[in-house]
Amino acid sequence: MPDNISPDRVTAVAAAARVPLAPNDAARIARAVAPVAARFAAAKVNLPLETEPASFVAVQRREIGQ
Amino acid sequence: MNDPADLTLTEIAGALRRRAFSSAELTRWMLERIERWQPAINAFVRIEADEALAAAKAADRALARGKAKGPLHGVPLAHKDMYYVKGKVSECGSKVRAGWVAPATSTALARLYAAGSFRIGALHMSEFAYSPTGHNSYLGPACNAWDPRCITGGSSSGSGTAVAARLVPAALGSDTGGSIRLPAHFCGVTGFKPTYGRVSRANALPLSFTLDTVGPLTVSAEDAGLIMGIIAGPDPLDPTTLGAPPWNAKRTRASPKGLKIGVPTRFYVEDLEPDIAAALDASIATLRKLGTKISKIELPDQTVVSAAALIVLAVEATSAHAPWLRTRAADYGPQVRNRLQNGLAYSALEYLEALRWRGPALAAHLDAIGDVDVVIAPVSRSVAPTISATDLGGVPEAEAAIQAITRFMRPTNFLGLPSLVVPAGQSQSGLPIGMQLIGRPFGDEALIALGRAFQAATDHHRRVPALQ
Repeated sequence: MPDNISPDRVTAVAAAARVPLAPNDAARIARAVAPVAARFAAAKVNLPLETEPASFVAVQRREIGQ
Repeated sequence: MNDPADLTLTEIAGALRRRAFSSAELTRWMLERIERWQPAINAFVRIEADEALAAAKAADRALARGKAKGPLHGVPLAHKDMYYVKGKVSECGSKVRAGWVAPATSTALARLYAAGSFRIGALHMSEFAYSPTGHNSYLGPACNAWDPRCITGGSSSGSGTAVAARLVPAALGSDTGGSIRLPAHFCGVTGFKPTYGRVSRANALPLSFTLDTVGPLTVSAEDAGLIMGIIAGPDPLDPTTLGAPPWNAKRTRASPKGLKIGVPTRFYVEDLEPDIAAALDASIATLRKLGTKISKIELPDQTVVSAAALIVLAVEATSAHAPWLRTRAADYGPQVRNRLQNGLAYSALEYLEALRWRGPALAAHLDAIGDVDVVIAPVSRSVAPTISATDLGGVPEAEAAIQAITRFMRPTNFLGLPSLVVPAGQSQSGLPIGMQLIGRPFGDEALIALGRAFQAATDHHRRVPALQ
């Protein structure tokens, strides 16, 4: 997973999403979100193949009745 | 009539049932108070005086016939302007939704109405519930009832400051990244963010379907329990609520003796202003006197949990708003438009890795806390900053400032945990300080019980600001 978000990447994704951006937006967005993406990437989260979003509900509901 | 500003929601509802005062008297009193306070704090976006008075008179007539609807019979309430009422305007704090009329009523509001409450107006909120300060370029800022130069916190800005000023005895907010808890802290009221899945979000404005929760801002923890007993429970219109346990009112009155309280050793205790650190210490001392067992706990790295929350929030919010970002971007305020555009930057892989990690992250949290029932933590490192100091609009530094304000909030949303904020002191400048009591999944009732015991031993929640 990339740990850096470049203005070029933001421009490409925005174009694919058909969301228009002003000339300086891509640089501003990259600056704003790069630290967050880098922090999550640095944790090197290693998920088992079988893990899906609904695994959250399974963990959460183990608590019912305890 | 006793001064309703001195009463909690529970006490007001009881007084109405005993006919100590009528709903019409109470409503007139509230409308007069709203008229005095509104110019100073901008808590309401709409005031519906005639309809509220008509509803109050109807409630009085029904009570005279012995036909009370429920535990909130005759109580006027107002809520964040994102809870839809069929046929009523709900602008969600944005020019994008100017004049928009809701096609259906939110489940949470329908349940409050069925319990006998009625609407006195609608409350200010951050644009599309996507700002933690209470600034709003469309509506102007909501102002803190304790000091109108200060922020209310957001996004449930009107709910926080209206309850603080006792313009209403309770109000619904919503919490995706701290939007109930921050206004509760900054405005000195009780705020409750329930376990994810405990309260239906149907026909309320969505921001992030993974993180959104619906809950009350009230005077007391007992009041929060009263509201939760009405709005919690399964709703076919919101599948996340199916399979959640029913609300157990008896547990909200349990003794705190023997409850295990964890105090984090890192993250939540770092870089606190002295007033906040002192309030945390004093709160721990109070909890110890109540017979709870206090211990230190090592939580997993909260900065990673926080980053995952930010990624999920950003992508889901941008997904929801993509149609308008394509066609009506200029109608958003600059800060919210910028934040929505930020969600474009993350890849699908980053989003899904964060989302898939939610279950393992919750499991790691539960492993770390062991048999601890409640984690105590500050809501913010400081009391309410001024509106001018946080009026960042769309400047590039705004995102970092927002992340600093919401720092202690996001892990709880990502893990779907319940959290009760109780007033816990005040700064030397007189501004309120709240503490969050973070529970286990579906441990909502234990938090209400602990909050009730804490408030029986303290009087911070009884403080009422004076109009300046």
